[in-house]
Amino acid sequence: MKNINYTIIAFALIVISGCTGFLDERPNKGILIPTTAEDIRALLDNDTDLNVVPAFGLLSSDDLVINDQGWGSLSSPSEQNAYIWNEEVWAGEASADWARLYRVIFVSNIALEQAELLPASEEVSKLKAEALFHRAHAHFMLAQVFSPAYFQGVTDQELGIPLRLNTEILERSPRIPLRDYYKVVINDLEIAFESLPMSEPLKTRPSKLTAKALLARVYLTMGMYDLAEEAANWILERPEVSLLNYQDLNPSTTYPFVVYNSEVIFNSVILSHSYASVGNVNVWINPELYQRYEEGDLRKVLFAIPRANGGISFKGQYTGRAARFGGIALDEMYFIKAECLARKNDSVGALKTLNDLLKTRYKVGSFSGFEGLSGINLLKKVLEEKRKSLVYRGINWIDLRRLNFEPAFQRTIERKISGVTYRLTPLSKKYVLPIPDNELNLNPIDQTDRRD
Amino acid sequence: MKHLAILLLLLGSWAFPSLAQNQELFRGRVISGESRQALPGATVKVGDTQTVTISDENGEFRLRLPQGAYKLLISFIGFESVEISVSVPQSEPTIITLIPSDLQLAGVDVMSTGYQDIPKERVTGSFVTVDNELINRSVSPDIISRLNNVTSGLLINPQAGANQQLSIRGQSTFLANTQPLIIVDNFPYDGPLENINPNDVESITVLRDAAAASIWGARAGNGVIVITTKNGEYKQPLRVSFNANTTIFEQPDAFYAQKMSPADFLEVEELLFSRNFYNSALTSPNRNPISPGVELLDALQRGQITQDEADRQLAALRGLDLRNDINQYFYQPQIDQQYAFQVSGGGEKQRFGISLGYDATRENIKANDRNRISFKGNQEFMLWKGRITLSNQLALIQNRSTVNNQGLQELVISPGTELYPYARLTDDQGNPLPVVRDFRRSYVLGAEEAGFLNWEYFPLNDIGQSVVSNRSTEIRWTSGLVFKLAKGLQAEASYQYWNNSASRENYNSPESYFSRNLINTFSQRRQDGSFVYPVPRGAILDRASSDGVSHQFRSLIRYSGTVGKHSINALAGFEAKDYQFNSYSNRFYGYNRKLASTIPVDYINTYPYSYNPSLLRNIPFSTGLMDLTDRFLSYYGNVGYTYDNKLDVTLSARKDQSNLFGVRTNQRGVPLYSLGLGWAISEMSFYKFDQLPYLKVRTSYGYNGNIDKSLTGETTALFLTSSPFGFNSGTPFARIINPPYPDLRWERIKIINLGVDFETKNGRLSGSAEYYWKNGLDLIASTQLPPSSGLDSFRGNSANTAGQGMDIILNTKNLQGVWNWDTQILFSTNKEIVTKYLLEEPVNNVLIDGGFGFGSVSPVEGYPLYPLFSYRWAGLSADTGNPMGYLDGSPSDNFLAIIQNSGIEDLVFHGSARPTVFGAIRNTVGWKGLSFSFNIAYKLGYYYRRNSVLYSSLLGGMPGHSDYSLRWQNPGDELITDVPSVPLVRNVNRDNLHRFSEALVERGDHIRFQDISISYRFSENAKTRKVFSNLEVYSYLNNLGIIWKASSDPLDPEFRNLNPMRSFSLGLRGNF
Repeated sequence: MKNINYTIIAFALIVISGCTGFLDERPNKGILIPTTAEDIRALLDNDTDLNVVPAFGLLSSDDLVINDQGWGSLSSPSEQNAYIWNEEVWAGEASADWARLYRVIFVSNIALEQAELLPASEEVSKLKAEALFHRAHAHFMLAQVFSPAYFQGVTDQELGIPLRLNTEILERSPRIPLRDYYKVVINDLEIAFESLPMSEPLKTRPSKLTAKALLARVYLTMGMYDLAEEAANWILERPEVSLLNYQDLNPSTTYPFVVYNSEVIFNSVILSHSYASVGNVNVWINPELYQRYEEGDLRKVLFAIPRANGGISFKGQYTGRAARFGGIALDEMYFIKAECLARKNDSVGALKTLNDLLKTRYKVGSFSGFEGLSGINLLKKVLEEKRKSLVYRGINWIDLRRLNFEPAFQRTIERKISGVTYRLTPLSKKYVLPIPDNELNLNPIDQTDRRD
Repeated sequence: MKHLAILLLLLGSWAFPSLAQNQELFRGRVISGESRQALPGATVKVGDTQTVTISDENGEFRLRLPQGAYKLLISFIGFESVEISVSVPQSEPTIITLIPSDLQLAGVDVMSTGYQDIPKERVTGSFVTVDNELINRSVSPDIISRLNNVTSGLLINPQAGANQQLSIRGQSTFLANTQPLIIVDNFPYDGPLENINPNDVESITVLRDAAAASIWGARAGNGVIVITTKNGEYKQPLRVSFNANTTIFEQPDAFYAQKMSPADFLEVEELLFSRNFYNSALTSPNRNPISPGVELLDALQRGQITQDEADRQLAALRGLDLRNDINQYFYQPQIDQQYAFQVSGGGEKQRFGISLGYDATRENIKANDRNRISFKGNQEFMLWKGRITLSNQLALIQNRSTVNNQGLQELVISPGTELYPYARLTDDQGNPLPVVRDFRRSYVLGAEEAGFLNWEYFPLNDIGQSVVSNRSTEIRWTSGLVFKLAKGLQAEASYQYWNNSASRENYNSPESYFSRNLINTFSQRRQDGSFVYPVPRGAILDRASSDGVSHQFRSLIRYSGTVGKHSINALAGFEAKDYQFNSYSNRFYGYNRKLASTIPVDYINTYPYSYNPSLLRNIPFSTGLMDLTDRFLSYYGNVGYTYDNKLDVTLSARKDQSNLFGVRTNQRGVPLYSLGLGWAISEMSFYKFDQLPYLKVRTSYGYNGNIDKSLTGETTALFLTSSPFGFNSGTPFARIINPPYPDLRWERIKIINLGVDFETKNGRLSGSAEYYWKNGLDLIASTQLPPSSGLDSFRGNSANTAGQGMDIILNTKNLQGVWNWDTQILFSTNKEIVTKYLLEEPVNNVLIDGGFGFGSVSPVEGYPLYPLFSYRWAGLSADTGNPMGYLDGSPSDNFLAIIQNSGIEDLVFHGSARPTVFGAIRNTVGWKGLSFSFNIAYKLGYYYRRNSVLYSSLLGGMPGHSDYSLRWQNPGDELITDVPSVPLVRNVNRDNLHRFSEALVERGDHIRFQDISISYRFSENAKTRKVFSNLEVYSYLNNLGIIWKASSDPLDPEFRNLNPMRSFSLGLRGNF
């Protein structure tokens, strides 16, 4: 019997000793669960996945025109539909704008949840803040394409789009009121601002500057001009960013602006689509806009590639390469400040802000500064210069949606394809893109009404 | 009470033999049937009594028995037990002859699960054994092909790759492992199956249901194949045996696959030329390769040659056929040689076995060969009066292969495009000729003069210049300790170390086309005409190496005991396994074999291609690393209870845990269990049916498991470094590859099995019939997600399958005596339906994947795992020869609309692409030492899709299918052909409508004359026995051909690309 006892004890010991940690080994060393701060850092540095913004705002705006041939050769029917503001856009196609931006939110939520598990430290709060910024940025940019525009006096009846605040992939998210949606965006940004570093050498990473700059854009979009001005002004006073002098740039190079130039606050690219390709000779800067650049205006040359077919295409993206810039830059902050000051009738301040910026956009001696403008004329001037400066960044689309609520700035935009003229009237329901079909098939939410 | 009385009676008769009355002396002698020598120590047991005696040194024994008829059971280790009827008193001593167990012909009657050996009568689950004789009936270097068509319920698909070749009762999984678990000598085997030498194998048991396999738990979902290797026996005289054989195969035939003739291809080239298809290639800055036919047409158009000259040369090309050259210069008959040598023996307290094997194969592609050397040694000791048994086994296997000739994969004009079919590999004198490859001939010819290395490609000269050598070495060490603690109770511990190191070397000599081409492509000519070589001149060597190591440890406690009519067999224990695999690969440029030196290259900067400087590329960089770990921790238990040899109950449970990634700890493991019942009806007292002396029914219920280790429960990410083209060059970043999925579970396979075993009087007819239900639950499959979740789809436990079928084995003894004639009939059915699948696969995926019966699955709920669907076929259009399907019920050639509007419900469903009924009939005839056996196999109830011409690739200039010659050419042809006309423009939809139509679906049903085995065992006399015993010559003919098939398709349904090669083997085996 003694033998049996010893044997059993021996076996029991082996069993127990075999258990601890034995099953915790990773099956494949190349793949791992992002658990450490370093891993989360790597997740948030995936700029190909995170630093992207929707492309259909720019496509739907009057920044560009596409000729018949170019329209016919767009690679997807959805691009064609969106360009002419067709009621149906996706026709069964998936939307990269929708899917990729929700992907950004998903990755941010993963980073947040993983960071939550780590002991508190400065590094961890910084990572959480970065994730919050990305989530807010993606939510905000999505809303500019798929949600109705925010307006003063918005009620809980106005529904936005799904808000994703966790990683439960099997959870189906409803449309939520626009008010609540923007509240979350602002809240995320305000919390993020607290823990972000002042600036980041890698401009794909968020910083305090980035959060504040996005807040300026969000407040402006919501029509909260005082807050927008305050945020924009905060940026203008920071030494980390400064205006480029366009005279120092060489318009004959392929891309006159370099990566992370001194105006870039947050680097992000517009999701690539056939219409937005630099090589597409049939997509031009809207000639009606282009002819408004005066002689001596360096934007006229730095932004333009003349095409053999007579059109002028755009090459002035702040990414410094083929990808279109969709991020946030200092020039936008000048325009936000100028607009907000003009709106509260501080003509002097508004003009100074506008002129400070514009004098860096002209050849020496060809710009003397605007003077004597005030009221609605000043505001119109600020908005026109903003459109001319921020062309091809998708900002115009966001402004169109906001300004359409003010009769003074309403604009009907037009397209001509194969002799047919298409019009997008102010306050048209087509300013909101429909929810992609694959979302509706799997998530029981209502489609956006696009019938005018 | 009654039982107790019997027990007491038995004990009494044993304890007080002297009390028995009127006893007579019974005498007998036990001898060996082989040597006619006395067998001392044989056990002689009298019928149902406890009376037992042992034979003395002369093999003699004495018993005192009352008058009457008795049954004696005589057993001796190493020999087959016999039961004889005797009557007391006897007239003279009875001689009892025992046959050594290696000569046993009746089949193994022990089923091995890898944990225990269960006597056949005690079995409740579904087991199939393949005994040594059956394993040796066929000849092959590998073990798996010896199971083909002799194993009930096992289906081997010769077309599927090694990782999907076998299926036992269907395939109850989509994405996880599909192959059965292989157990070698009680441990799961991690190495390649071709490492197992069939000459070392004693027997194979296939476990098909839950009761049989659930002891293997989470890896048993696809069934288990238990391989037991040979060992010596205790008290066995030294035995030396050998086996040698040679197999010659038929030669592959390049004409078997239905390829278009050279004349037809030239016709297509002329057509394409007239349509200006080659214009871009002819003017391309990439110096695109142009076939000789097109070069002629181009020269004619440019006026460089006359019409007569062009016609003459084109006619000459039409007369050539590359397939003749392939048959002559590439193919050869494969020859396999096999030698095996074994020594075994045993004494009172130890036994051992040593085997050596050498297998060599001359491949059917010239200049290629491989070989395997295997060694295995076993030894077992009994210590401490037999209370401790210690066993050790060492197996060493080395595999080598040399591929000097890369074969047909290098006969391409550019990657992915087959060589033009009128290519010539030699001139009339047999001297190698160059063929067009990668670049235009005129460019290649000028290259050498311009200072490049010779850029021509001579397929025959390249043989031996690019050489792939593989070598793998496997070590398997197993130690086992059995400790008898008390009567019926023992503790066991065993450990296995396994290591497989493999290396692969691809040496491209400086003369090889591969090296010359890469060096030339990157060569940079300086202003002064001299050259710089970013890819240095010299050889290019690719090396890959992998190392797999596993440690497995198992311990268990086993109890067996009988009290009266109650017997219990139980075991419980735990098992741990650690498997590590790591590999690396890299490339050496400018390799010098003599000095083993290499030259560094610049992987960072791009270089212009010499043939088109506008293409800037990096030097190909091929370095890779992998590091994998699999860990299992398992607990298991098994209880078998038998009542009075009539009723068996088995219970088995196992819990497996693994290092499955990030699953909630309580889901790392899965408990799997089974319950089995067996009832020997023929043992019941009411059973009076003499004609059927053995009848048993059994049933089992339980779960096996399966896992997909690529999935994880927590978020996983792939770590990368930002490329020089990214915004943050060199910054590490990570991409999420798996979302968090804490509910991840192991797949479960629920199996219910009903079986009956029977045997008629004298064993004339025996067999078993089983019916099973096999349901896959929580199978891992893809599910679509709304994109707002952040993902399009994910893999989770979301699908179910339901399968059922039967497996019948019938053995008949048709003749017994001088002539023996036995027949075995195997009949199996399997129907498997996907009952739940959340993803709706695009129709095109269903059409593509369903056509094969293996590979990736695109299931449709309510249909088989591999469903064969097709578009309804409305023939060819009488006006255009366009293929027609149905649009809104009427024939139409609106391809796009038909394809876009067709849902699954609009397609024709034919059936499964896997055989649903299969089996074999084997007849064995014996006469004295001669044995003749042949096997006829059948696979029924399935469909396949045959190939035909694909214009989208043909009109892209790639050689195609011979159906081209049957195409529609003129109105009226639609009555005699289903092959569409040549379209004006390439149209994939037009091709797909035809390719996936009913017109190309064939029934796969066929009956095959699988093989013939003939052997002759020399009759023994005193003279020969001094040198040899059991000397046997044998011959084996395999793959004899199709006897019947349902389809008129000229190709064999199972051999679609290469002809089935018959083989002939001749061999000799015996003992010294």
